Amino acid sequence: MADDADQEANFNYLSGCLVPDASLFITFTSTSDIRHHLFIPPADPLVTMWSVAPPTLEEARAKFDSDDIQYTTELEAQISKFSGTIHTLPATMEFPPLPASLKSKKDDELRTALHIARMVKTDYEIELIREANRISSGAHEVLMRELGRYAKKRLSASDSAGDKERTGKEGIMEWEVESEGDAEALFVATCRRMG
Amino acid sequence: MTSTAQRFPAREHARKVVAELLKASTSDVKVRNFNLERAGANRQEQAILLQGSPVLTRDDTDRELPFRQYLP
Repeated sequence: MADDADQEANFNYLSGCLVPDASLFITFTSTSDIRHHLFIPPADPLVTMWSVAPPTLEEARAKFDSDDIQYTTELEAQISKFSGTIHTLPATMEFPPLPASLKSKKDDELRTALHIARMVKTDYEIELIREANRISSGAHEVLMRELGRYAKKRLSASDSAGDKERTGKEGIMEWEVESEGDAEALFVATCRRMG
Repeated sequence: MTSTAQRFPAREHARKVVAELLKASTSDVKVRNFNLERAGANRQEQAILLQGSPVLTRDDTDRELPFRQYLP
């Protein structure tokens, strides 16, 4: 997975689903005969005590573009009843073991197929890239303005940067960017706020 | 003009990947399907299986889940 990404990139490309622990099973015989099955985990009280609950099946059906959305508890059965060739990515240490019901797999073609398919962007992806550029450009401008706001102050010897104690209650307008870490925090916060 | 407010086109992306898989020149599946079609039989069904990123840590912490303690 790429650093800082919320989901494995190939999985995201084929599902648009950022829910952790989800799975995808796409069956096909031709480009006009494809069935897209998305599996999301059911809510686990141990997780939802601390984290946002995964969507319900109804919410997921409204949100994700798939022919069939079920809970991950149904995945093993789906694989068991399938008799054809199953393509997977080569196994790495980063991902959970493949389901036990997967008796045989073919892992030498899917990665290349994904790379070629992802090389040419759709209109939707181009629009996403434009939106990401708009957001990150805006955040860079915010950061430059914040750095400029304190530049004059820094020039005076009486107020050197980095020697003030922070209480943790400073608002964004009182929070001077003093380090690389501060700059990153402000950049990420601005990007998040813009979507 | 495409809007990002639309639903992410996952099935359109799936079609693109399937098209690439079907034309993979090294595929033994392709040869098998060619022979099946010549014999008048249906093509063999294929599938893509992908797993999403697992939850390795609690939200906003670096505490690994397997070591998380809780009271039953």
